[in-house]
Amino acid sequence: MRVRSAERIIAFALLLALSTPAAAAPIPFDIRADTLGQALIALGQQAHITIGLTDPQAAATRSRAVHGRMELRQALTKLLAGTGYTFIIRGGAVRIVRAVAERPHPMPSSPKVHPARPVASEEIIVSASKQHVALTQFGGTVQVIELSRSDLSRVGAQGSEAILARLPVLASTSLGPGRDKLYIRGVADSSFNGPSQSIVGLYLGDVRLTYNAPDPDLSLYDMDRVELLEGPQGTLYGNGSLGGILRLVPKRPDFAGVSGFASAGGVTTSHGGTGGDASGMLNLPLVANKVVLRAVSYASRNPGYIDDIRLDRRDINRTDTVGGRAALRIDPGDDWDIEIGVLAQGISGRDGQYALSTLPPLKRAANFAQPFDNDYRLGSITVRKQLHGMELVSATSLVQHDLETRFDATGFPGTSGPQLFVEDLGITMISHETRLSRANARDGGWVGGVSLVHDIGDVSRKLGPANALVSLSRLRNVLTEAAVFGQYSHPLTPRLLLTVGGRMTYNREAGGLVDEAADMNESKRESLRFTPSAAMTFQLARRSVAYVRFAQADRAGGLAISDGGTVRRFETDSLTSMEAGIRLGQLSRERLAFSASVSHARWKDVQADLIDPAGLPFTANLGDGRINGFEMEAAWRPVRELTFELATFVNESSIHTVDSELFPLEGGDLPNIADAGARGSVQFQRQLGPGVTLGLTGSVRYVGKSRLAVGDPLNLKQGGYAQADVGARLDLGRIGVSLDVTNAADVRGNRFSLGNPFSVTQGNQLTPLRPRTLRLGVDATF
Amino acid sequence: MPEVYPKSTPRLRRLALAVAVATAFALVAFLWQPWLQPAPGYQIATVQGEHRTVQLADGSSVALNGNSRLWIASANGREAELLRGEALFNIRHNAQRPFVLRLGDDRIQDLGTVFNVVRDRQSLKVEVVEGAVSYRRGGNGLQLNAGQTLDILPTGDAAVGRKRPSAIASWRAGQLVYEGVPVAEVAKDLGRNLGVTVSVAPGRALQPFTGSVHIAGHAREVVPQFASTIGARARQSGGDWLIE
Repeated sequence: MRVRSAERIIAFALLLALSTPAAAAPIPFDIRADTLGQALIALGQQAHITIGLTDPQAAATRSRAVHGRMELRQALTKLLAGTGYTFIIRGGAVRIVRAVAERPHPMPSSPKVHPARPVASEEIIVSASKQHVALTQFGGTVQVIELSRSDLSRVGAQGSEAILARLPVLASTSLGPGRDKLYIRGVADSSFNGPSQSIVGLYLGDVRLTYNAPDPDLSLYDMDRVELLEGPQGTLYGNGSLGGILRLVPKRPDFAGVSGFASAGGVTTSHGGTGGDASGMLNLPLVANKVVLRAVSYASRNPGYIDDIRLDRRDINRTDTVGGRAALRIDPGDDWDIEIGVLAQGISGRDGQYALSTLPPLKRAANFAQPFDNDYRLGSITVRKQLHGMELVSATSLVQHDLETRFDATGFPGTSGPQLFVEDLGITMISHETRLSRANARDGGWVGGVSLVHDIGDVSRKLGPANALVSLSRLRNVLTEAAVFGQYSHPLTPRLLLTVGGRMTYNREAGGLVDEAADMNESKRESLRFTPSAAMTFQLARRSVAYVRFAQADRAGGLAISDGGTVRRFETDSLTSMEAGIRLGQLSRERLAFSASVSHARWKDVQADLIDPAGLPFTANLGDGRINGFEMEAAWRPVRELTFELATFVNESSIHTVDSELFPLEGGDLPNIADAGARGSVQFQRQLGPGVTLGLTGSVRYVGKSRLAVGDPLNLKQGGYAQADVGARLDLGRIGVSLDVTNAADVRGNRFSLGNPFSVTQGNQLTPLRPRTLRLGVDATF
Repeated sequence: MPEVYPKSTPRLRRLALAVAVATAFALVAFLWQPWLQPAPGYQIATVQGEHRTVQLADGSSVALNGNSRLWIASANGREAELLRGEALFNIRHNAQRPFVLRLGDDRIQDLGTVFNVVRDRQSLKVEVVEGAVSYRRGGNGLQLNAGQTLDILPTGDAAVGRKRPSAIASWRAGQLVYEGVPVAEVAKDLGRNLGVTVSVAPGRALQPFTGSVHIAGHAREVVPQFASTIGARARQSGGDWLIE
């Protein structure tokens, strides 16, 4: 039944795609009655097309005025009425011809010929495409959030949370800032953290951020935009992009001059504490047009709102974040561009953010504080060079990532009295990618490159009474991955573009217990895998595109080493996806923009990080899964001041286990993904006076019900709530003042039924929504 | 019971450090600004398709089209040279310190102005949008007012013409605008904007073109589109295009 409904969705979307008239892209025209020559100049400028004539007599002919929003053909027909001339549209150009002398195309009514137009300069470029493809021509499902100054000052302190709040297709676990796993489009393996590779690739510009760590939750300060590229991205981004990739694109150091930005805010949470945030950014040319430095630093405190009644502490889940980025950009001339970047961010959560359902709201009782630390450091160098229409990009980075987690493990099998569990995870990662691309979506183009990742993860786990911890294990995993990849686009017709690509990945993993005596007693595993992809895009109209895409990504098999030292292999998992989508219009040009896509994914040998009955992590293959998804975004601007947006993601998934001994169950949804999620928002902007603009925003977000894990006793319900946020900002030019209320209705909801893996099987943990939180902020540029 | 939370001193210290660093940045910015201006002469170059706007110290600005190179002189930024390409100058007039643009041996001095200059190997074009400039070559000079253009041909001959100010520097909007301009001229502009060579068959070179050409794209799109608009065909061989 469910499969059939998915088919119906696909059929509906295709119908929608096909029935959309290709030329339905109205343009606002304002052309006076003038000579035809002048009128054509105005028309060309307003429609951004090539148009004109070489007959002086025609140029001097009087033509009619054209006002209002209409299609190009309609405008031309009106303009030329009674002039004795008509038009031919061919290959994106308009030719004016004498109506009598030449009329091979008397007003063609079929939408076959439409001006295919080159990329306009203000168009959004999907840089994650690695080929600078314009959003309006991109054959894949992608979300681009452009961050305005207002966004940066208001949600800059937040990391992924701000992105999660905007995009229903993005989901995550909710242990706390800096310790969550992200999921895109319903591709979720498990709710637990562990050593298996991330399911979402995280990038800062061209630099890879993690391999198998939780989301480092980088603050969004001084970011230019966020790109979420959905679906498996095996060809361009390699292993670990099963769900897609999330790319934070920082603002680039700017040679134009000295500039700066600062923001500060005070935050108070109902039933909780107070906090605040501050940031400062400086763009400083050191050598005019040669060397420029851009640096941002920030600190924030997110108030807690959960009380521990046993420890008698209030607002325990306070989180502090301190960090900064600096980038030095060098223009040595000759079309080279070098950027050296460093980044450091520390997140420390004073305590876990879960409460117990058996206690009054926002209360819990634990034997210990369960703090968390996430320290992330990154150094990178990115070199770009333009060569005859091609671009060479080489990015190399070094990451040091340390995570410290503490849990109350009282009741751990074989122990008595309060037990504390401490896990230290240290990751060192080197990654590199060099690629050469030719950027041109319409005429085809290509990209090819090599990539390399070397990741060393050291984990140490200790357990015992707080003053007498005993080492459970020290493990080390060393992973090396090398890949070559390529993608080629070929225009089959002027509007139909075929893209094929593939990636060959060599993967080597070695791991074992780190002995006090010996160095390491290791096991090894190697694999070589090929992941193909293919896509077809059809340009429906100037800013509208339909696409179908087939893609694959996988995660190499590995070694799961238990704390006892036994090594268990887990197999490569592989996700294959088919999707079809359309994207119509662009809000910056039209009043209405719409996009939708359907996807069907089959996931073989799902790898998942799980916990054993005692609460300790292990990794295994769950079985085979499939996911059907439908997503839709629409934006409407009825008048210039007002914008409505609606986004939704619905999906259904199932997983069938193969290992009945390990998981005695016969199917069910993938964990932690709600069947439905949606967000609606309204924005109002009005100029109150010279240099004074008022902006109001309101949004409602619904997160459907999901469950924590596959099978009892972790089949715990979560989600199923709606949250409303409202905000206002007064822009006074250089200074802006904003007031935001999140969870304005002070709704109680359970985001996530896990806070502590050692007692989660009791089924009483829940992660309450942050209660109503008020932020008053100010920002300034200079 | 052991201490529940470790002392928060390191965290506070980090916070204090971050605030100190932010303050230091802000301070450096303010202190740096006045020192930054007297930078020595520097060059700015753009690649094909790139548009870059440079703010000068006095509030004037220069917008550079693709494939262009500009040298900005010395102490006060009131002297510059367009080495090649095209640029739109929006100059704040200062009678005490007039802005001087050098073009090889020739000089343009602003009289309160927005003006566009095109320079390639053999020829030179000055178009005045607003105000006026004074153009000097050797001992000779002339004043160009808004809407006036000056063409220095490869032969060394100079021709003064007229152009609607709104049509000048239309390259900035990704759209070139012409009123009765020979097709050969349009082709030259396309070539410069696209970084290719575009030539025109003799029969069409002198046809007067009126219209608008969308140039935000690749030569493979732009040149055939223009050709098709004038009822011609574009042929490519290597990086060279022929409109016939």
